[in-house]
Amino acid sequence: MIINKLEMCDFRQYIGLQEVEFSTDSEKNVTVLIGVNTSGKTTIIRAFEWCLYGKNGFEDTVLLNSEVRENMKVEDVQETWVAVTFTHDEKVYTIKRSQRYICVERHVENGKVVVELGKKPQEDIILEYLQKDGQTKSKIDKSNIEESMNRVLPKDLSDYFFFGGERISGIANRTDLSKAVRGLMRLDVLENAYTHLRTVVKEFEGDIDTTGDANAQKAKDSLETYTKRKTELEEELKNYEQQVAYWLEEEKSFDTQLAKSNIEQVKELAERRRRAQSVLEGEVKKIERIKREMVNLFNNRTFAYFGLPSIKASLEFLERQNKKDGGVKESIPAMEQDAIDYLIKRGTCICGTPLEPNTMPFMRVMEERRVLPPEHVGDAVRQYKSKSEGYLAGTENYKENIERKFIEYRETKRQIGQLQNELEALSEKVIDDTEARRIENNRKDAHIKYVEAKQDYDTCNRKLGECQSNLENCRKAIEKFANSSKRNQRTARLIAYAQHVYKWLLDTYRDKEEVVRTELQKRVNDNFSKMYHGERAIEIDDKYRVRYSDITTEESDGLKAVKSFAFIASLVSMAKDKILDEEDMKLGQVYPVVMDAPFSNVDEIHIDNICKILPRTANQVIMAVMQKDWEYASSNLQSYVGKSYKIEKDRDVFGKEIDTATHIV
Amino acid sequence: MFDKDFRITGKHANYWKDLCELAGNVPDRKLHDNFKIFNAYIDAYIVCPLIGYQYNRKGVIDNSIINDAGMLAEVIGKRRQELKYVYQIIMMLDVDSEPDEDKRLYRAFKFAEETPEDKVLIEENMKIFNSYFLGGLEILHEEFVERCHDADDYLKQIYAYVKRFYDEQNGDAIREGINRYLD
Repeated sequence: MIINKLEMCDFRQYIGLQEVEFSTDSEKNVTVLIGVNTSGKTTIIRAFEWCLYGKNGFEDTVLLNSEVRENMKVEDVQETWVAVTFTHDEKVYTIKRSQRYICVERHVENGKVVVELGKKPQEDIILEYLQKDGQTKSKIDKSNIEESMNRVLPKDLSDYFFFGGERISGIANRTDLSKAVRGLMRLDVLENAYTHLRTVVKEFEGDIDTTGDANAQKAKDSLETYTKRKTELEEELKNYEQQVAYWLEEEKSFDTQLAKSNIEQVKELAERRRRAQSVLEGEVKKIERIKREMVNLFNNRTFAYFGLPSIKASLEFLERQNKKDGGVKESIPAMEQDAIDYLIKRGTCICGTPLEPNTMPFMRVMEERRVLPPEHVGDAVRQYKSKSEGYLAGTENYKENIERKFIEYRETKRQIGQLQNELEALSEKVIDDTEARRIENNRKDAHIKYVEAKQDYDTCNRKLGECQSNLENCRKAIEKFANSSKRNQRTARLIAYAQHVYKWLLDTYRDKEEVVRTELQKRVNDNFSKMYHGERAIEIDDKYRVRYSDITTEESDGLKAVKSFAFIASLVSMAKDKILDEEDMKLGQVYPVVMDAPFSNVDEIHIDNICKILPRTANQVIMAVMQKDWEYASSNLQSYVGKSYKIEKDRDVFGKEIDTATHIV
Repeated sequence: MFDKDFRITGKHANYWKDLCELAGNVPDRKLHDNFKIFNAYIDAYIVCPLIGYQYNRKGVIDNSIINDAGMLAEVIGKRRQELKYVYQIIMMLDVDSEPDEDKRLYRAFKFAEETPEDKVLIEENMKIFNSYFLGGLEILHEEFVERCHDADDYLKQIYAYVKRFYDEQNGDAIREGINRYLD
């Protein structure tokens, strides 16, 4: 979506018709609207929100210009409207939303004119697009407008693109950004598809007629029970996950408080513990991994290792048989008796020698025939030997690998023991400050609760795993039955298809999500380091929240704003660069960024940096800025500005500004 | 052969559950929540017969304890090649059940049930295979579950058992011998 034009008619303080055309140039992609405080910059953002999504963000909900309103007589009708013209997927659309107000009463109160308007203004909305000929306009049916707009730029995501300075610092601090990120990267298209397929599979499963088979019926009943149980467990898991995150946060925040303490001893203690704790967490994860790896090594070709003496004995046995008169003879690979029969029938060998009964060549060939499959075991013996070779090939280092893994396990265990002792010793050190003591106790509590919650989480997760494999087993049982009944065969095939496509979509989705996360992290860090003067590393977690990986202090609003800018700039640039697109899958979209007083919390040096980056990452930047901010911003932005406007208030005869009559010039 | 569901009952079902990670619907899962040395039933089913044969231990189903455990044909099918290989080893070597070398050779390489006689023969062979499987389960149960309490014990024992086997059997000499036959 690229915005071409905004028109407002008697909308709030903007009197008459105001028309703003935005720059759509790919190089000079910035449009600025410069105005003083209270001039109506925020109203422009709200005009977009109202027109596109019907959001009315004003305290006084009447949208009609006050001056126009004051001049209305009883039964007069006045209309206010906003129209936005934009380009999406190479088509030009215009959306126009209007409200008609009726004057129901007009009287004078304390020397002031009071105009009462009808309670509910009549609202109308039109969305139309220009046909390829550039002249004919087609209207979109009213009932589809909301859905169409949501497809162009989802309402949920709109505040990432239309935002004011006071809102920006909150963006990167939200609790869950996954929906927004998925939406922007159009991963939701894949997500919707596979969610839909899951319901399709479920419906098909219901179609299978299991009345003929008790086991299948039982499996079908269990399937329902387990499906229900799975949903419950998933809910539970989410709950535990939140608890784990909560207590971890709590512990960290107490730690931060201790670290900020004025008492050197407390501070140092907290810092040392934090370090030891984080190393310990890493080692605990490592030892779990080592345990798994050791079992996996033990399970890899165990039979070939413990079979070594028997394999040797079996080869000896075969050797012995081979030496016997007329014993096992290895055969010509991949040859069967039919081939010899053919030669006999033809009467000549491959080399041209005649094959007549009772001659030497004939007997040789017949002898060869005897050891060929299917009659004799010769071929099987050859296969056995090659199998032995294959199976043994992976086991030369079986013992050494397990030995090495075991040593690694023991070392890690020792390391964990040391760290635990160290932590215990640290927490026993006397803190001779009451306040610090109190915080330390809180921290301990939080730590215990965290460990408990983590255990609950792990247990629940294991139960979920069991439930999933139970579901899988039920499905298999039903599938087995379905395949045996002709009536059900078709349904079974449909299920198999649906499941395959489901898996394919899910895999694609996961791959792409991984790409998004990695790329986002890279770009946010990149942008952040260009915008922020200090050293800070940023991490993107599984909910796409933006975190500093090294923070111990609280952040200022200014820093939050910089972080949000880095986040938005990165997201928008990823969409712009179409990082997920493939030949047959086009997910990339273009987005505008519309901002109101974006720099109000940000200091000059950051304004400078942000201005260097934004125009290059977004396809279109529209910003309403205060005169004083523009002075800082212009030096970097000037070369990108395609269009610029001033927001001005009319002045009365005494030269005083009139609040209700603003123009864009 | 190795194309049907497989299940055992009694004491050995308990052993099997103690040794392997449990997937799917296992009602008495809580009774078997110890550390597992095998990732799945099938992994134990492939190696136990060889261990049973090696230490000359055959097991007999003991239903004095009520329990059961099993695998679907599908799971077995995926590892059929390995199972057939282990089966062949035992069929060639087990003198107890068949003293005649020619007959052992024949039974080790006869997989198709073309005649009723073959069918009976293969059924008998499977009984031998499975009794060594039960024997192997007993041995590993004694070596691991009856000795170990926590994960640490199990990991130590895995290492010790693997090492002991190699030393006991003189692994280096065996490998050398095998290489001579295969070259």
